[in-house]
Amino acid sequence: MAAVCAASRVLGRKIVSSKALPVVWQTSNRKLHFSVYGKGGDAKVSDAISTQYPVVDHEFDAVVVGAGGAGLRAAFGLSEAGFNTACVTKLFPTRSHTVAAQGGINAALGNMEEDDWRWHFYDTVKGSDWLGDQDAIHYMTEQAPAAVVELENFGMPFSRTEEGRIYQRAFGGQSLKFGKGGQAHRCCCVADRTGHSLLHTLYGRSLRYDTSYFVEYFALDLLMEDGECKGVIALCMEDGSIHRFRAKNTVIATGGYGRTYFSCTSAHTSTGDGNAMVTRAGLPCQDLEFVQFHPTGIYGAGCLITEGCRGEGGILINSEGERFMERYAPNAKDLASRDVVSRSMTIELREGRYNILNLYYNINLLFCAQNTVITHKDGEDTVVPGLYACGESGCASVHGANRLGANSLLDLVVFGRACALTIAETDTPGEKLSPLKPNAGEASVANMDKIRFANGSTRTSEIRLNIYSFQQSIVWNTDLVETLELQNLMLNGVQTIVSAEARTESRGAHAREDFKDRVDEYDYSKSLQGQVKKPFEQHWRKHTLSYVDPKTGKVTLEYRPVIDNSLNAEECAAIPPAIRSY
Amino acid sequence: MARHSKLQKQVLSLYRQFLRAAQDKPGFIPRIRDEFRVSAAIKKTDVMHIEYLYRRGQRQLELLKDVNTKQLGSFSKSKEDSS
Repeated sequence: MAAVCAASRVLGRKIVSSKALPVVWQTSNRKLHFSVYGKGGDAKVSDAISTQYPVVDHEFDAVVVGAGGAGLRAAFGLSEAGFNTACVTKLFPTRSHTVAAQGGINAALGNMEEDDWRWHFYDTVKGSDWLGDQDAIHYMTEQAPAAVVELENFGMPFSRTEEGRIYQRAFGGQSLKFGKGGQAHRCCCVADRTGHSLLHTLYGRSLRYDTSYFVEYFALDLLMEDGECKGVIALCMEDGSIHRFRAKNTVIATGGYGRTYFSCTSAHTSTGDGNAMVTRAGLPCQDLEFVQFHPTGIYGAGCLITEGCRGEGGILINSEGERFMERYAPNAKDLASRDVVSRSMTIELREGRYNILNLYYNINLLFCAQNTVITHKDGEDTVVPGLYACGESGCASVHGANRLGANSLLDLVVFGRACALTIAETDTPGEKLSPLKPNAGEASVANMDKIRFANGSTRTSEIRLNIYSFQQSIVWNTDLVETLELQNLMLNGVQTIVSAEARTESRGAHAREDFKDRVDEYDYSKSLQGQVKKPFEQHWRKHTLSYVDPKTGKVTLEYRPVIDNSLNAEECAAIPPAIRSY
Repeated sequence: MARHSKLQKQVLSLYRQFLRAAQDKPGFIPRIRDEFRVSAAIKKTDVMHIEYLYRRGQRQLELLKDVNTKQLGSFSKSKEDSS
């Protein structure tokens, strides 16, 4: 296995064996035998069979994993373009975590004051601490007004101004005139339930199209062959059957992994399943160390107070009654970007003047550039054919080191739609599928089987103290699904830890006590004249790519440069790095 | 000979629909037969269980009828491998 990997590196391609066992699985010599009922020799084998997993094969043009904001938008975008689409989700669409978003969607509509998407572009690039890929940010901010208008046409009930235009509120990190014109009001909202409205609007809209929804199907793994993604294998929770969805295009929109932390505001279902699937397929995840801590989360309760409160005039005060943000961010004050506010709060806390923080959102998860999952070999980005990612699981290049509030709902709709458009450009509906090995997905089923019959002394929940064997049926086995989710969380967690430890600087949401400064290729706090550019290995303005070795659980890190040029330099000039202050 | 009850008729009708739908797709018919045969052992009086399986069967039938469903295979684990 190691030799094969070494050889493939030399050839410049990553070859992934469909027999590779994932990291948190111990080596198992349980071989599963694949057969089609009624074809060849079943009668002879039947006496010796102890367990059988029926596998239903489906064929589609495209399959979307996840039915949150990004997943729904991608799924019905693809159906609209004529593709035969399946949407596989472990939750009913309206229960995805998008529903919990409160703040709003940023778009430079200019309803409250004069606005320009290039100012939004500047704010997002600055907010990402210059770790965001500027071409992706250009795309997102330029498409933002059109995306919001499209949502409004779908029937999303935005709050309105007196003239009847969409109401936009102030939000963290948004400014006018490239930071010089004061606070911008560009966050379009629906009272304090924007995510809820968004998800229900998208769901209602999706019913007009003929996407096939597979609800309460837990996606186990990607079906990879020869470095190409050929579909997904999933477990139907209702009746325990396995389903293989073969498709030329797979879109991952599975959301984040907040549940790796004890105190978080994510749903119990935010377990990073998509990231883990990609990791087990041998592909890298990008920038997992940038986990965002929301300034106004409530420790222990697992919920948060929306940034919209601060947008509508709320202020943060410490135990001495002082509006402490004035000291840390003189211009933006409480509406500075989230990582700045969180850091300020930490300092106040340390100095004994405040209460505890809480985790909010994961940024920079799946590696992607304009939605395609790539590997980076020998200094070049190469695309993994057939695989795309959008939403929180694919947001890496846009938010960089820190996500600005209200940019994430925007990210969902813009890149969900972009995924559908990209697939429509590169493919035609009804294309014949490339052949797949008959036993594709065997390793996933073997793993699931091993977990199902596991008889260790520690329970998944680790809360119940009695030791009795839990129900081992395959139907509605929520313990089994929780254990699979735990496997996924562990994969995400280990990558986050190792990436965070390796990054010896503080940037955006990644803050370190021992390395407090940002380390770029130049020192931007001084004039660039006479400075020598640091080589790639010596500075940190680069994306982390983390891989996990299936056999040992070891995490390897590689790095990829940030894309500093925008899509079109004439329309929108790229922003050179600078010191970040609000 | 006792006539079939309404529920029995529904189950039989479901069985027929399944067989019809599974004609062109390899691997389904033996499995359908097995499932119905096993479930036939359920007591006639255990109506809740029967109705649950009937509803589940209807959902599975819809899936089977869908043009994108292609075949049924299985991954089996032999007894020697179980530790």
